[in-house]
Amino acid sequence: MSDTGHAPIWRRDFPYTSEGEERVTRREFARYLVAASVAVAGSGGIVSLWASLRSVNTGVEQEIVAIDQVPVGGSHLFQYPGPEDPAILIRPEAETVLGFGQKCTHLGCVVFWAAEDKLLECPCHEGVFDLSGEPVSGPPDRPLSRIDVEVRSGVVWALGIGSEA
Amino acid sequence: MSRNRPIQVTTAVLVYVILLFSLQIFLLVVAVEGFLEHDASLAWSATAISALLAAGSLLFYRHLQRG
Repeated sequence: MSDTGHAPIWRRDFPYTSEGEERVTRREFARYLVAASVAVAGSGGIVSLWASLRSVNTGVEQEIVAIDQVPVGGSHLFQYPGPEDPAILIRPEAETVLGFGQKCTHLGCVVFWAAEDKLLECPCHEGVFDLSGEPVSGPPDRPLSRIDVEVRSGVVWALGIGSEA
Repeated sequence: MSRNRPIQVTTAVLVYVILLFSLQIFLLVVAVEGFLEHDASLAWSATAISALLAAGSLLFYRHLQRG
């Protein structure tokens, strides 16, 4: 180890060493890595606990709009389940109304109803969803949140956030 | 004895630990995905496997220490 004959020039010019400089060992690195491994497992535990304990607002029954105010092939924007949650009601056929959360599952831009294609499109990154809310193309890989809707006496009601799209 | 332990053993253990850690990063992403999809069971499953891998890493490290 005291082979100064092969020491680099910079070592001769700056002959300062610190204790343990040469001993940044694999074992040291392994120790830090194991600590990080435990930390990552702990982070997963926190995420899981958070997922279990948080309450999800699934909404209450709420009147949206009279059905005759939504043209066949058209859409209507509303807020559900909270006043700051954008949602969209679409009426692809005379007897069919569908409700979706309007936030794209990619990065949260609002989707709009492309009537000519009968698809929900996100203008930010060209994510496209079909009438069941499933992603068809673009970056989103999760479906839009589905809102259960029902027509009662000519009025469309939101019943709650659906369990799946 | 430990001073004479072949360095390859240390390196091999290190590679295993790195591999397990990489899998744990993937599992953390899965747990977050479960969180975003309101699927707590998915998050817990990923966490359970991640904890097993962490225990494995710990065992490897203890093996290294004993050597």
